[in-house]
Amino acid sequence: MTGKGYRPRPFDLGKGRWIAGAIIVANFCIVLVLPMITLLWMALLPFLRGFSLAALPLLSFKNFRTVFTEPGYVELATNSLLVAGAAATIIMAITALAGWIAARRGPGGWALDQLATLSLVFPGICLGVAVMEVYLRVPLPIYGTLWIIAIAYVIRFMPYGMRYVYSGVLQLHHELEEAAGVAGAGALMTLRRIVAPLLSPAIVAGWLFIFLVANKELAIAVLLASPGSQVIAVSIFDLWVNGQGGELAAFGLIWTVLMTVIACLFFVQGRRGGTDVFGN
Amino acid sequence: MLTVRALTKIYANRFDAQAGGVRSVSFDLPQGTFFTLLGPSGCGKTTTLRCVAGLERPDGGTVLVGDRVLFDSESKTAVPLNERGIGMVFQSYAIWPHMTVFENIAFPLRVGKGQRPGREEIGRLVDQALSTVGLSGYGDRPATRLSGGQQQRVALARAIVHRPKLLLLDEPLSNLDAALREEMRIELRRLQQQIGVMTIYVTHDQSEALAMSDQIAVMEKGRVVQMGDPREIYFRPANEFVARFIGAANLLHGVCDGDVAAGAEGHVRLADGARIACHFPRAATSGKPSVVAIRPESIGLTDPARAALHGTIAATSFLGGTVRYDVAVGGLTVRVVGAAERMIASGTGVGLDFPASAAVVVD
Repeated sequence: MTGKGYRPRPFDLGKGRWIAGAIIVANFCIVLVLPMITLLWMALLPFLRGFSLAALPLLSFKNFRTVFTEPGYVELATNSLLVAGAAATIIMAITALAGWIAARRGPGGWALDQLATLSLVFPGICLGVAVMEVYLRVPLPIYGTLWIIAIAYVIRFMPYGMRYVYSGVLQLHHELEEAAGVAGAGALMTLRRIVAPLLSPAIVAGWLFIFLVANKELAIAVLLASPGSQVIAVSIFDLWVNGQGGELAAFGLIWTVLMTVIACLFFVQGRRGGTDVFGN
Repeated sequence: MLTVRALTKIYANRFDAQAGGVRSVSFDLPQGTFFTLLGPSGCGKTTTLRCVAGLERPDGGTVLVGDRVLFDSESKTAVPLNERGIGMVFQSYAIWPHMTVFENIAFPLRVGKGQRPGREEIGRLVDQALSTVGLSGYGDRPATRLSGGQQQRVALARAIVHRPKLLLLDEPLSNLDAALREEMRIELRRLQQQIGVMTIYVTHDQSEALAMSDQIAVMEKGRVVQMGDPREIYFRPANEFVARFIGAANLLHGVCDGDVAAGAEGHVRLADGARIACHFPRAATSGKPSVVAIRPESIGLTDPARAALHGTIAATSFLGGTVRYDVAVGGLTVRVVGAAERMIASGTGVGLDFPASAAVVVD
């Protein structure tokens, strides 16, 4: 891939631009605005109720206050961020090496690639059950802790890390590594001084993606989370089951904002990082 | 001193049984030689270079630098790539974009095995390499803020900073524009002579090879078909392939007229009956089918009566410094390059005059 001289070329849609514009706006409303407004409406009311002017006097920030003041929510948020962060970090550490070996057709590269991608086919619940069964029998006291969730996440999201690293490596010119070898660097030195820094945009992007997805993963967490190690996806589900729609909406909104802020920070940092893989 | 013996590396192609690579390539280079592997793409020149560098593992053969064995299939010796102490410039330059110019050049000094130079020593060596390639003061630049020619120089500085015994250049000029390429060609040669490092240069550009090299090996289909200094390669091509590939020689087919000893002058009778005097590098017996190679610029156009070979000018093209004539001789076209001052019109009958030493019988 060289991508020489690629530049987006704007073209005139003529009258069609009004239609195109309308489609974009409609899409934006249906996908994002309407659900968000609904969530906000739910969060501001003490109980579930349709849109109506009569309900306006009932609006209050009570649900938001509950979320911020009840200690359970803070602990939940911390747990979730910890588990997702740990899983993303472990995955990217493993796949940075495995993805490089696979992309460079190193020894066992093909097998590594297949193994790391295998978990993509398991339904989340099945994987949850399997992990639960394993750690109920293995004398490793992690059942009922956050660790077991983290391990299950690592298995489940490994393929994403693999994909990010794999395609990242393919964009690095092989001669960059060969030049390091000729200059006297061994494989590990080349990996540390050349491949890892050049791959860091891909690694960071993969980390963020896994972090965001893992934070809202329900299927695995619902099986493996216990009262002492709760994560938000499960507790949001519980809120719904208990009929606490208002709190659910408030918590969901806050969580959405938090995740958006984190994603934006990464984006800004990535922009400021200056040189990307191609040295632009 | 570099010795390469019977180097073989075959790439089998499962689909059409065509195999690339190199077959039994051998050469010896004295210290300080600028040696060029020249040939069309796919002839195995880059594979040969990569085998010497250690980027490919040969199937067989021996590679020695001085008396140090880098590879030997008999004794199963293969020094790893990063312990060979070779300098190399890649076709893509392979400048690391996340480092400054200084960091790029200092890298070989920092990662090598054994005694690594101290901080000040590294600074001194890098500055020296930078000034050698004419980039003094560029050390702090990000490596990506350089022009193509400057990147080329950085790659070269990185390859020579640790004083390698052997420098490998893999088509380093092919990514530069024509004017810069000319300039870098002279520059590279000057640099090589200045530091006196033994160099292997890979190119498909015959004019680069002729202008820069002490020794040239012309490769075809994985084999070295001729080795010699540039004049030898140009004026005494060993076979049709070399004659055609370098300088686009005219090739005339005929039979040997009378027995000739090796290195002597003899005669070849062409299909249309003309009998021309030529140089025979190898002995030949009368009646042997022979091919004669004549350079376009070795031929003078004269009065038809005064030459053994004559024809009619079929086409002319004015090239500025020279004029190119396509002369129809019997059933074939002979290309002639003449002086630009005088232009002979198409359709004129001319004689083709050339000394016997300029007409070489090739295999």
